[in-house]
Amino acid sequence: MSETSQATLERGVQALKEQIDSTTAAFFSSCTHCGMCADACLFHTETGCPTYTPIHKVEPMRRIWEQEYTLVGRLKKLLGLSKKVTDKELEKWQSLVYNSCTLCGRCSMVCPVGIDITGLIRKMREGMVASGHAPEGLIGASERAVEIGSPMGVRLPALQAQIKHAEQDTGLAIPVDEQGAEYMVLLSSMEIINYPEYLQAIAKIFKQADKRWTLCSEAFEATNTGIQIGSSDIAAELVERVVAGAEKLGVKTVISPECGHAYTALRWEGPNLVGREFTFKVQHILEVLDEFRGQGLIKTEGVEEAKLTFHDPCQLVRRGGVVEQPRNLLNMIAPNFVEMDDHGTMNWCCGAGGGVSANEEADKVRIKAFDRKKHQIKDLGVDTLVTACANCRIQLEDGLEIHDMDIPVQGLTEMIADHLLVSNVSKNIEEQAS
Amino acid sequence: MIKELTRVSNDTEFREALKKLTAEQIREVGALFVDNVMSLNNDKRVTRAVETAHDSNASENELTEVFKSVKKAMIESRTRCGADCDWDDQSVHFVARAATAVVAPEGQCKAKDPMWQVVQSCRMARNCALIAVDDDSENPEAESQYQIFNEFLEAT
Repeated sequence: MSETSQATLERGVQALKEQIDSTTAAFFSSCTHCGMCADACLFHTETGCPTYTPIHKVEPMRRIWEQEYTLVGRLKKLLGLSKKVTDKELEKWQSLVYNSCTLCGRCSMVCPVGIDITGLIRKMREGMVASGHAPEGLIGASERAVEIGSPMGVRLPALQAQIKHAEQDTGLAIPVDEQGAEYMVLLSSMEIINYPEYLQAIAKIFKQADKRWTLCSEAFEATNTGIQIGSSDIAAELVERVVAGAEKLGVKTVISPECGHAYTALRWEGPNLVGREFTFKVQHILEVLDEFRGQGLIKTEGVEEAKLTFHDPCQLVRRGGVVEQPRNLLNMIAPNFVEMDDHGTMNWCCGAGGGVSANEEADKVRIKAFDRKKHQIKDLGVDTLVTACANCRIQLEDGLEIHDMDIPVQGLTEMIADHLLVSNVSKNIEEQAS
Repeated sequence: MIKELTRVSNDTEFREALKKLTAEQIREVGALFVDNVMSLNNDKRVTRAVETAHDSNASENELTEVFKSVKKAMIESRTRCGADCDWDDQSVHFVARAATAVVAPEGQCKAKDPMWQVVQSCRMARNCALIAVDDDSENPEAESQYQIFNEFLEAT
């Protein structure tokens, strides 16, 4: 990947300068150093380490703004009174910008002057990539995403093998490259590799809803490592592939899977990244399922007896406003559903988003950050945990295992599929077979 | 009751037949399914869990102990987010997942139907092994499972 292999301090500083616009300047000039963002960040609350204060994570970029774009800063620079950003400093900052930030957005929610601190950290990552200070794990994932189409190296034959498996299990055909389908379903590599039940659930649900859907052989991957590592060029290229696939097939809606940042990348950043409006709608799978529920297109039977709670993926609730949909769906099948404290838009992150889980250097702090979630779950005394992001799911399973908490974790889409009215699905399968 | 069951030759019959087994029979036949993919396994915790599942005299404590151990093996063997997937390693994960479902206490298996989780995980293990060698032939695991089940019925 040329962008990372040609990285230098000069390029990094230039990239940071290019990120500084009027909004960024307004943010930097209005910070009152109140420290409220620190108490909103689980890396700070769980470690007590003040360097994890979110606004501190963008300090090198703030100094560049001050030195280049403010009168006082320029004077200080002329007089040799300012401290230049160095390569060593950016190297040191790598752990703050990547290891201890999931881009969860909680700090932005509490800032009393409205600074989008997460947005600034996302910008800071652009400079880190350009200066060669991105983590190895994310560099590898980004290279595979660009070269192979999947950050985890999933090639089309592997997907086809998983499709065959899903078809055998469900008795349903998994449509691929179906021209004119209403929905194009994206998958994350994590689902293809670790959670093949997701694809089976989609097949069952869409069969019952009687909706035409398809996978796209040229654009099946939802994950966008460009967003995680902080490279708009890579992010745009990955979004372009999805756009090209969707336009080629003429679909009306592209469905982002149970993956938090994939949804943010495509729905909220996508059109800006590629510089044009999409010709199709983008929805998270839970939004689609809730629409199906509202239209009476999916019917369920039976309920989950277990006391369960829902972990809100940050990118869904804070960036996307998908708060009510999972609860509407759970209301169909989970009479013993209970809420965590600080659920919904102020939910605490699992600790692994924003590329943290792909970054082995972050493993220690990632598990420490899980302490917040551990306490939330313990306080509720639930038997089952439900979520809607494969990455959250992995972190929840890891964290629960480390703390010897035997609580199964399940994806909401799969749980809904498990409760579909069997007679409806069977009838539809028989119709398809005939 | 087991004598009332007929031979199976497809998944519909297979699912129905599995539902008629007792808890002990489920554990026994589940362990046989995992045996069939054990050549893909390289984790002693998985081996031990399957051996315990085969032991009709295994105590609840022993089962709980091997469940915790094999669950850990299952979680440790998953492909981590963003990592380059090694499909051979991933097949090891699915063998561990199958073994975990075999010995899971009630409510501890995330699947609605734990026995079907065993069946599916064994098939996934084989699937991953086929992907690893770029073999796009049919996954033979389902047919093997029907045969194992039919032999189990005859022997019981």
